[in-house]
Amino acid sequence: MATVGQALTAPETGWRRYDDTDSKILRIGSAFGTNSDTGNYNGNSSWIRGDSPLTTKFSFKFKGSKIRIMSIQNANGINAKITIDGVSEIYSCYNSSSIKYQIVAYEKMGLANDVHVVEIALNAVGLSTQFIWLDAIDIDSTGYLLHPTLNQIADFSQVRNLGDCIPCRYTSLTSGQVGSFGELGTCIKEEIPVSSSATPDGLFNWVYVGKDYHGRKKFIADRNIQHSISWNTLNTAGICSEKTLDLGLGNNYISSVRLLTGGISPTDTDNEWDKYIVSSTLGGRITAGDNNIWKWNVPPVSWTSTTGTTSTQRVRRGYNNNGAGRYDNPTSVTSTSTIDVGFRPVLLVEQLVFDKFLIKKDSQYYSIDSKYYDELTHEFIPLTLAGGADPSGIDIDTFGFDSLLPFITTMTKGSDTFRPCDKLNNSQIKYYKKK
Amino acid sequence: MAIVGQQLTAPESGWRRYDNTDSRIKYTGTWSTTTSVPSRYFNSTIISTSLVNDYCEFKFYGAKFRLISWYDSNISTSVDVIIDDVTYNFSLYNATTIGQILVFEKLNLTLGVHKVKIKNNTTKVMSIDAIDIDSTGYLAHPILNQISDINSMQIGDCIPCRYTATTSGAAGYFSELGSCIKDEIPVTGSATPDGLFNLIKTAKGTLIADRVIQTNISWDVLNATKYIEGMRITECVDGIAFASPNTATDDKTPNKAFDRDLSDTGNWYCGTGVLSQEGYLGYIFNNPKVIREIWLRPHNNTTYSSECFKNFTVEGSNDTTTGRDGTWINISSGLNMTGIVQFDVFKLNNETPYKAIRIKGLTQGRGYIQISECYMFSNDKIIRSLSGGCAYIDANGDLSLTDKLLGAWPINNDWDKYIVNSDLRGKIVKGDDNIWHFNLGCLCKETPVNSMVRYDNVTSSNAKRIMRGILGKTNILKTYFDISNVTSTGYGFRPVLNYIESDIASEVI
Repeated sequence: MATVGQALTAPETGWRRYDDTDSKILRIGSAFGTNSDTGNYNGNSSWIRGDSPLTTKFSFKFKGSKIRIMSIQNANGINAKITIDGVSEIYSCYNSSSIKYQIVAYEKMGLANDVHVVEIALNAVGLSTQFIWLDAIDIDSTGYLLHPTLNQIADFSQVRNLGDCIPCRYTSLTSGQVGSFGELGTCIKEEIPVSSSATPDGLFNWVYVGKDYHGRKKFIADRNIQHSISWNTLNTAGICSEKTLDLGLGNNYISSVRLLTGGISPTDTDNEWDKYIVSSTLGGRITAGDNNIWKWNVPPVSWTSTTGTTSTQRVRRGYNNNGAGRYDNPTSVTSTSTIDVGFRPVLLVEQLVFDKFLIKKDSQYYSIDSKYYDELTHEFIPLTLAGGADPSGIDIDTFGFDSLLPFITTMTKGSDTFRPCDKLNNSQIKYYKKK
Repeated sequence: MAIVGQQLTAPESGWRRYDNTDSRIKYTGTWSTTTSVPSRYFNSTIISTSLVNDYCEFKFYGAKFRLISWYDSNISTSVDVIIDDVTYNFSLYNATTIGQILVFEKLNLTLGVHKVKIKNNTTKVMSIDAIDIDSTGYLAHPILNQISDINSMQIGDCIPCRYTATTSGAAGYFSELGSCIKDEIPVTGSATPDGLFNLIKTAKGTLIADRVIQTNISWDVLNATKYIEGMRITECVDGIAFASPNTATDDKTPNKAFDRDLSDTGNWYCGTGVLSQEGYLGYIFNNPKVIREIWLRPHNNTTYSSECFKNFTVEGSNDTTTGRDGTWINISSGLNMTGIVQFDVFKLNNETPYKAIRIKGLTQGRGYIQISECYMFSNDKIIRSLSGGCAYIDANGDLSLTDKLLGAWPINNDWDKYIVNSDLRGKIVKGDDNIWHFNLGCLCKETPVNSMVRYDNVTSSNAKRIMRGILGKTNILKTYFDISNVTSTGYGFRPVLNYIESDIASEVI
């Protein structure tokens, strides 16, 4: 078993490794750089320069119980401060002799098997010739990095708020062909690189951007999930119009996939790319146009469904240092370029019919979810409804429970064991059929 | 005033006339149109049946009704007019043949919607040339429930709307949603329409036009106007005006800012001649609305146009009763009017519905704020074209490059899903020509897939676009395509209106 100070060029059994280039590792601040020596894991390692502010940091979240940080160590290395769930420790990037790669610079075992928030920064400001590095992160083989900023959901039925994201796997093993989606909510595979792939097989995120006119939940992929694929190929797969697909959500949902609209001209900002990717703060949860969320500042340029002025070409958006709103020249529907054309889908999910229940006692409404049970007062807490005195459609979505069985089933919270019906006796059951 | 038996070649004052060709008169039985004696009939055509129990029916809003037909010596002598289940009877017999006769009239009905059925009781000819009703009345949809407020619509209801396009080949604009009573755009097509059509609710937030509203227009032109993927309709919201207590009490009420009269000299003003006093102007809506855009125009005299809102805030409230009380939430601040006599347009980054919105700022100039026009927009509606599939569909639901006569692929396209296959929750017979008027084909959003072959052996290309309904009411499954810049009298623009229903308004960006 490896120990701190040792080189570890691959994760040990029971561990998995994430490279420093994984987009789930956020960089906050500036004066980041890359060391491209071949001794690094995957040939690169990220650094923070020693004279950066102490607020400059790597930031990520992982689910797991253990973590190792792999780093370069050399004579220019100084101390890094790693903070896990608010508790800080120091690790060294210094080695007096020649440069060493993929050193286990830090290790923490025995954490609760839960989501942990990690930051890595300079321990103290140093010189511009000094560095701390991050080459790779090892965690439990059954663990995973989460989206660093958005609220990541595993169960689709829990998607509620703008900016919620849900991971998904996309696989297309043949270049130039549309692939298949799976593992919605459960995918923990390595990500499809933000610069995409001709033959992707990995994780990306669907970001929830609100409902469409039909009341369907609309999601946008947080990257191009495939490049080198022509608009014609996407059209033959039904994706340039709208194509239903099975995401494993069951019969109560209909899911479909299509492309974004992109504006008929550079001055036409009334289209989905501008509305969501350029302009939306997703209910105040993100900075509008944030490249960390939407990953537009890297090729390929995304296909849209929109025709501009030439009927055999389609509008493409994204990839340019000029910002999220970049409107590229439309290109031929036959193009299969690696950097010029990418597939960034929209997902629409319609929930067909669903039963929801609430409990009404006197004039108050209650849910029987344990988070609405107060252990101190030993009672359920009356709900604060967006609809005021009576629940609105959103309240029913947020608080309504799907089955009556838990109402009469014993549950435990803290030191209390009880049946919800006994706590809420002489109450009314309110049933809502949502369609 | 005309009496029954008299010729009436035009409606009298206080009346309006609908020709027999109006799509809202529904004919049951075997009717045929005569055009051979054009001078005899109103608008040159008349429609006739000679079978017992054949009838036509329609609904109209009004209080009076006249039937225009013709007299002849060999004609039906017994015609029933049944108005709201009360039957009246008359004969069309006359020794001399005369056209455009007032053959029946009923006055002094209660003002409202009436059902009329006109039935032939003999084996002789009975004809409909025209019907006259109140000039302020209108024909309603003969089958569907016609609604004037889009927010009250259920699936299967319809709402009238006006479309005006004055230049052939160029797209037009929509207006009078819910209130249009103009003559209809003919279902047989028009290149320069200006009239009524109906929008039918087929799904949540989705209305589909009941006819092609403009022919001789290309896909490229519709796309350039954004009517293919979606053109936002800027529609004014209505409400009750209010303003801050320091509003002038003469004729400068807040209503003056909301009267939508650009030519009048009426303004709202507030202030007492003291600088930097706070004043506000606002609207309370009948239902909470998401306001996304506000237009403001200052005093229409340039001398005073600088006395407008500068560095102002837009606020919303859900608990105010008068506009002066309640809690107010800042939606947008630091906005500025130019002080030039024009509309200043403010797009708000707001997705929250509020019961009331107000614009708040400080007095300027001589110590007043003066606004001549204020418009508030929810911008929650778009007009687009139908989806019609991008290939044919086969019996397994898969893509086919040749027509299997099962419709288009993917299966969930608008045309197949709603127009061919939906009975609108039991309110119609699916694919009914009386509802959807398949006289003309419609341009759809999609590009046909490569190597798709039409029934006449023409192959697709990337320059072509899909059309549906090209071959009339007996071929509504057929899918066609042609080059995107082509125009024809045989097909055109059939719009879809998408709107945000209030129960999801706060979840739609």
